Amino acid sequence: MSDMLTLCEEIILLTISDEGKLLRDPTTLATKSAVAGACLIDLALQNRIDNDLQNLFVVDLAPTNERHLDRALASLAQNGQKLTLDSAVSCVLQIAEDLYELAFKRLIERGIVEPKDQILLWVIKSRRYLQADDAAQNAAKQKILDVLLSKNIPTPADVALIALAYDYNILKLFMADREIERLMDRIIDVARLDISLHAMRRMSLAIQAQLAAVYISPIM
Amino acid sequence: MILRIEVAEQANIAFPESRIDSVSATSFQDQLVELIGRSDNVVVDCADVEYVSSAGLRALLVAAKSAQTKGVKFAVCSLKSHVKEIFTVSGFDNMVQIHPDRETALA
Repeated sequence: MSDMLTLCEEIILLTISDEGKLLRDPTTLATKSAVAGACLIDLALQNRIDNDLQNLFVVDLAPTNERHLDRALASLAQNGQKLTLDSAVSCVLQIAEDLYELAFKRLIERGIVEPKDQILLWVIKSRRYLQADDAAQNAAKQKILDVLLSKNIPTPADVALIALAYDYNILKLFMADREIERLMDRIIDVARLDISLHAMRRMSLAIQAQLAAVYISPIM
Repeated sequence: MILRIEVAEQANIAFPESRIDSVSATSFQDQLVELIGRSDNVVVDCADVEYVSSAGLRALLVAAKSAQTKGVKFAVCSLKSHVKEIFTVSGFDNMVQIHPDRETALA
């Protein structure tokens, strides 16, 4: 296993507050989309998958030795070597809660996050995830700010981190709305660069629209 | 992929082969970054390129970043229309100079 955090772990880490609270519910569509998108990019950066504007290709089944990525890779491979981009996204989205859990466990194994149970009012238990060392989270935030505050060409990993943090409202957890607004042109230019995430964005919007339609449908 | 290089007066020109995808992207990127390391001006002539995947775009992004860091001029030219689509959709053309042909790129 690598010492370097995967993109998926970085995304999850960015959603933990200084007090150890999870600022994003792992069961929401936004979090699942962020985790699924991150796993797809992690696999692409490790040359396990590739894609164009229509299709995704599983090109190498060798284990990455990260359980969440191997789970995502196996799930994609079950559907064949060539998948439409939409079906690949849907496939990973379906197991996103498992991927979240596996990636979270990895953060705990690395000693970056430490679960702590608190008892409030003698009975109500609350679990917090304290960061044993906030260097990893600070490094992820700094990478994002360094790219956004400069005109430098970003690395592919930075592109994906910014795209996911923007698309799923994670930037808001550590940047003021006014600052995001000021940097919007740059954020959009950078976020567009990874075409793998275009399908994830499209599918999230489609699911949101479906959910909205269900909520406003009259009960028959 | 073996990257054909032509040394012109104004620039070193790299000619990638037909596909820049997961099979060829790493080798393409390594050779391009090496070329950038010994050039002042690099043009990637994509006249023979029929297909670029996301791995190919990432390889070009890494090369473009390397050129920017080293202060080397870097441009891509002669994209076929179906290949150009992926550059446009991704907004890659906002980050890197794209020219319609080699003559314009070298001008």
